[in-house]
Amino acid sequence: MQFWYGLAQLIGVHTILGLSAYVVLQTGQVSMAQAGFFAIGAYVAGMLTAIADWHLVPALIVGGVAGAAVAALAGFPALRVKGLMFVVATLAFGEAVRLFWFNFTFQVAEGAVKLGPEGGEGFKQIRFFPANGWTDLDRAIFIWSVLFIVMAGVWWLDRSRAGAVLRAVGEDDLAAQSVGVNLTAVKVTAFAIGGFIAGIGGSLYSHYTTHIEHANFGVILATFAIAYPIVGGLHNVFGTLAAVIFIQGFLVEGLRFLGDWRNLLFGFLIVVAMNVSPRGFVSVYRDMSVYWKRRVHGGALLTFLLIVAGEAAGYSIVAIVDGVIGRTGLQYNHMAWIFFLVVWAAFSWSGLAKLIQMIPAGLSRLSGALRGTLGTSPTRRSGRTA
Amino acid sequence: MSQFDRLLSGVWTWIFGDLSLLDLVQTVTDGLLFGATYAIIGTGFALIFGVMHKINLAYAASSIAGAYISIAFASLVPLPAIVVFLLAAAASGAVGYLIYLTCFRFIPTSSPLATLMATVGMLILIDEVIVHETNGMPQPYPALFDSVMIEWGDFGLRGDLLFIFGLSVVATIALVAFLYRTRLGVATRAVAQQPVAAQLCGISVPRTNGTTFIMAGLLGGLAGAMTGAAVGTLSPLLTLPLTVKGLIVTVIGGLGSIPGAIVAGLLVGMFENLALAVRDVQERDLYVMLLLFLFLWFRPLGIFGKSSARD
Amino acid sequence: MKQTFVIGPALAAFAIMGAAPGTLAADREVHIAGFGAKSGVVRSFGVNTEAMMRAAAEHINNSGGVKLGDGSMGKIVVSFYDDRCNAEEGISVVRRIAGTKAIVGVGPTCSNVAEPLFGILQKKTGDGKDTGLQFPIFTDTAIKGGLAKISEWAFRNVPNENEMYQSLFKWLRKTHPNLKTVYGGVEQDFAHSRFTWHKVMKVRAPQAGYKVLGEAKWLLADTNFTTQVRKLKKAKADIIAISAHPFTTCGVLKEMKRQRVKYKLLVGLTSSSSMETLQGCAKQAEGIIIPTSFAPVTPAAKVAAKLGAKYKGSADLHSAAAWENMIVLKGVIESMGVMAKPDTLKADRRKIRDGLAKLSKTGGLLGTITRTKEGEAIKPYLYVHAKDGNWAVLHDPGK
Repeated sequence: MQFWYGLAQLIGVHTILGLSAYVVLQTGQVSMAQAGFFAIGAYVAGMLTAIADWHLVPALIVGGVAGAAVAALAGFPALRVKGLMFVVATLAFGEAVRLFWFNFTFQVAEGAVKLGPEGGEGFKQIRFFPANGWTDLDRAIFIWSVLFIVMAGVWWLDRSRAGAVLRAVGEDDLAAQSVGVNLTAVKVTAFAIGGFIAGIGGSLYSHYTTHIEHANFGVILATFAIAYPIVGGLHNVFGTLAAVIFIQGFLVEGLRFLGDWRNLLFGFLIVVAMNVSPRGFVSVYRDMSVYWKRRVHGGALLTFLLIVAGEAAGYSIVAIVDGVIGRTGLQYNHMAWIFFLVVWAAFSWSGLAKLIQMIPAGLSRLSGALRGTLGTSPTRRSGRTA
Repeated sequence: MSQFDRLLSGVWTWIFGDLSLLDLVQTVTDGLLFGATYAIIGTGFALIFGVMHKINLAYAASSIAGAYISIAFASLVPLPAIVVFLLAAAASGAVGYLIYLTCFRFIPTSSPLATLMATVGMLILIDEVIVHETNGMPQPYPALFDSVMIEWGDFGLRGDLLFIFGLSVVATIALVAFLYRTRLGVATRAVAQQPVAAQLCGISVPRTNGTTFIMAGLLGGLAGAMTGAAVGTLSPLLTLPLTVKGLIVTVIGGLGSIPGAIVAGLLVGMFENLALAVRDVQERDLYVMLLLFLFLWFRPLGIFGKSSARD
Repeated sequence: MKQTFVIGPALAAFAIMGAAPGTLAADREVHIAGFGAKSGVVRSFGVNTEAMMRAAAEHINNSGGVKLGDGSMGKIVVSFYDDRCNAEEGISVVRRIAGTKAIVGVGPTCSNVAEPLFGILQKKTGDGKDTGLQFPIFTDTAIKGGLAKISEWAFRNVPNENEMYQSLFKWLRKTHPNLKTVYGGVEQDFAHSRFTWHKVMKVRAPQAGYKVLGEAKWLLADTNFTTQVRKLKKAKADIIAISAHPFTTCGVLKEMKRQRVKYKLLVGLTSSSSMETLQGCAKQAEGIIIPTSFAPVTPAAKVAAKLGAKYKGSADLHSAAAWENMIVLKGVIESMGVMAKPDTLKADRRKIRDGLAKLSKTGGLLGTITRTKEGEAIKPYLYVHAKDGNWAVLHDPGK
């Protein structure tokens, strides 16, 4: 059971990280600095609970505020640039924050033990949870409570006028400016909110792992942070949650039985996911839901049931093959290729249809491209492909 | 020593520690020379990001993958270094086309985030394939002129880096010639600037982009081979730092500018080495980031950026 | 809310996540789980550890298996998990292992995983208030000093670098009395290499009578060493001690050759006494001296190396420790009367922990290993040097 609680904690913390990038993505900017604000929250909250003996809740809030403050400060210069330059600027900023913590030492001796971050050595013994008797279940519930509050906050933001302003800036900032929206104020505010959320996530992260070091907060974490909202879909917060469950739960943990193939499938499945659902998982769900609602009464419920059925079918196949392999002693590696594709396709029902549709279409396009004939017509969904 | 001399040497020591003038010149030169490797990969980035306006985060990975594929061949049949480099270029061109197919061909251009994420997926996949095949172990890479050191007393220049610098200049000239003198180059620029108008002129968008990705791949493979030759060993550790450096160099050089990438590459190399010599290795990269921020603040278009390149 | 139905797929995804390797559980199987890095630059470590664990299991099972608490014989079954040298994943993996039938975990590979991992274990056994995980970990590879004392459930069978470098520098001083100075090179951003230079080599060399002239610093993924090597060359030290992993070690050595640095001896990091260094730069690394806790010099070591090769792994100081761990665990299982029944899981794990804590001596592939009260090991070691593209024994201080 402890494994499930631990996994729930991990998913909770990563979803908060994803949501911090989600808010900034609403304004049309891809921020690779979220891992940096995550790090700020992690170190600040860790220092407050480990050195100053604060309770976790006020430490969380201060961690979030620290993230927001640095984000607001960094936001002003960074938001003078757009597009790719913004990506690079935030990537560099995130790395700068990481390097700051790489060089930062602040230790306070408590008896024979020294507490606090020690530059390259990292920050060890952040033992608020175990020292205060929090069980794995307690921690999971706490993290998900914080997540619930954050999700509710972002959900409310999305549904409010402020959210509409954010999306307006994201869709077309020139048009937004021409109706009187102060672009700088909106973008900096969104960036600060993202920094706040990331700070909170980071605060939870350092307590959940009990030991942090600069290398935890590098380019890879920054990439995951934007991966979650992009893969999940920018339409609502549940997309990010679904993407975290997909990436951390399914790709990282669920595919463990595939042994070495798991790592190869990780990148491969992300590419497949982006080709099959370019606007994110939530958009697939919405398309299905729209399709069925037009045709059947209770279409929304039907959509839900279809997706669950697809999942169940995928799981049954996994379990059957698992059992078959167990009985016959075959190597996983050979069978795995076949059915994981089915599982992924089952996860997204319309994805399966699209996948099947793509094969002949893709083959003909490929042969066309190779033979050097003129390109075929653009895809059905919208407009031009590259 | 007069008061003025003492003041001057005091300031010198405060800034540069125990580095002598010769040390300083040597450090700057070493940095500039190693910057040639950044320059050559920056040229490829400039093509993809600057001219085509496509974010391909898997570019450095495909370059390194080309280098790995080339030594895979070299382990079967002994090959001279030049052939290995050309193989690396060819292999990387193939990988570049694969990236085009999987990340750009079928994803609608209205979803740039999806292409971004897809290239991230390819980056992870390419890295993992490399790790899988080599078990993560470093592989020695052949080099040209790697034992050549041009020396005047205590001062030395690495011969292989001079060669790489020369090669990147040649590559830039070739690339600029390609873009401005050939029909495919014109087509590439047309498709990047106005895809619909380009199609109306009868230019096939998928074919042009595919071919340009192959060309960028060729350039990248050469860059990957040169980096491998300069370092002497290939390791999956190279991928991520090269990606970050390449992005920084592209932005500093100016997004639309290919010569800018060379100058920026040299500048970053020099600055990085100077920061290392004057300060500690742990702070070195902080100064590189600072350099980038200074450029973004004071000159967001980069060294040679044209205003039409602002996105 | 309609959108909450997206949770539906999430629930089912949760179900998929639980798919653990489903072998039909025969009775009297003793499950030992290994975990380590099978991804990234350290992949070879994980591959080797897994190979040696499986080889050891085969070796034990072929000799009859382990004797369980009720007198019957049990088979050892090994499963191996990849933690990708990532702290979060390592913690997740160990929690997952704790949910299986495994009675002990062997791993991790990376010190940056071990430290947080030991932090989530119960600190002191019997502390009711401490909700840490109660699962014994017996480490084979993660070598950064002083980690086992973080928890009473953590034990390590890794060489004591303090001891090894102390004796190496003393021996070098005796055998090369004309060499007096040392210059260090250190990888600053990796837990192990950083610790070994600053807290071990830099301390032990002066104690043996050497003067440390300075240190060159770089980062794990660095590719340009011209500035550092120039400073190193100017110092004109007799011995160059490099505390770094194969990639940067090779880079520095190649740069040293290029700048024609003159030195009398090279000393390296324990972890770099593996195939990787020879694969990357055998020529430049010629003659480098490294203290190690494994070389195939004893009959037992040769058997282990051969069996490991069958599973496509090579035996080096890290993977050989995994083999030794399996043999030690066999002894503990038998002496503590582990029952290996589904309902004795918690008790079995406690028995393993207590058994490991009680040990003062264990057998090792090179000789007897002493175990300390903190859960660490003091292993016999010898000095190897790179000769003609192979590691050859330079000197055995035990003899």
